[in-house]
Amino acid sequence: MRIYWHFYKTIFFINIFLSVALMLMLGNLTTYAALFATFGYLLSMGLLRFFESNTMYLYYNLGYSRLRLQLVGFLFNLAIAIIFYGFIQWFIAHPISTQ
Amino acid sequence: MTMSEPVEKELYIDSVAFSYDAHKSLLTGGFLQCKVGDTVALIGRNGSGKSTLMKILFGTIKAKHSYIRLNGRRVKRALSSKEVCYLPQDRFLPTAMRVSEVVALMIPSIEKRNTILGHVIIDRIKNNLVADISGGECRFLEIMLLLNQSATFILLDEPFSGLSPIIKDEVAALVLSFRKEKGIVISDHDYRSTLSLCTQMVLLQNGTCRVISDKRELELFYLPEGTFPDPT
Repeated sequence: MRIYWHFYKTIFFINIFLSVALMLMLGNLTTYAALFATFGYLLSMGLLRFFESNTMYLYYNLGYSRLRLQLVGFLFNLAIAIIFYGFIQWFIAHPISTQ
Repeated sequence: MTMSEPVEKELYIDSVAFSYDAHKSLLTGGFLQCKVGDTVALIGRNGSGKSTLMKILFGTIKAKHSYIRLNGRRVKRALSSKEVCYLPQDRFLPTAMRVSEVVALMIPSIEKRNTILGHVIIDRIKNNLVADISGGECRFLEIMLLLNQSATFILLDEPFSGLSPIIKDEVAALVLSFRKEKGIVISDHDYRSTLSLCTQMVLLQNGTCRVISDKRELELFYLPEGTFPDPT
């Protein structure tokens, strides 16, 4: 689990900012969780593959294939996206009062 | 062989067919055999396909055809078995991590971890970021980490590249210390360091492998004439 989390950690941080950028382009806060779970994840994976492809050998040498890492990473990401979705829905239902 | 007889640990590949370009084949019949206790030197000119053969064996490149056998069983890619490790030519350690964190990530045994961190070369860089250590130190660390994995077979692609003479000697000593328990394949253009360690020599030429029994044979295919003086 430690290795999967280590692999996912980098994607997570890239994805957070990429999804914010994508959400701002769309101008809709409710799309954030969906973007985080889909396009953000795929784009982050792509960036990691392009800039840090050799790092994959660390995981290969520990016996983890790319497909396995990506699948488990996707599940981690989906779980976090669901938490974000819940948080955003709660935030919309309970807007911060300025008075 | 009876059912109770233990399978000899062996890494074997043959019938490798691979090409990057549809019109020109790179590997047409490469083979390699490595048993525990062997140190195989894979030698060849630039572009002859040494790294490609190692990557096919490890499983990060898919060949048009290949037959890979690991410990008596046919496998499609060796990396999933955790029995084979591969040192690529370029750095593979994450640059944003500290050396001690990388060691902790890759080495689960505390005893082994302390031995690695206590090594004279690693000890002085253990608190540095991987991005901040020199190429030679990083190479040494990578080799040290791979040799300390539980994998039986280690493929080292240019382990001596960019190393100072002192670190080269350290790498050679490290390889020798693991030779009894592992099978090691080394591919490097520093033929003196490589040949001083190997128990077998394989020359990769024109897409196929040729077993070399005497290092002077290399003068016919790979090294300049007179590299190894005639003993007579």
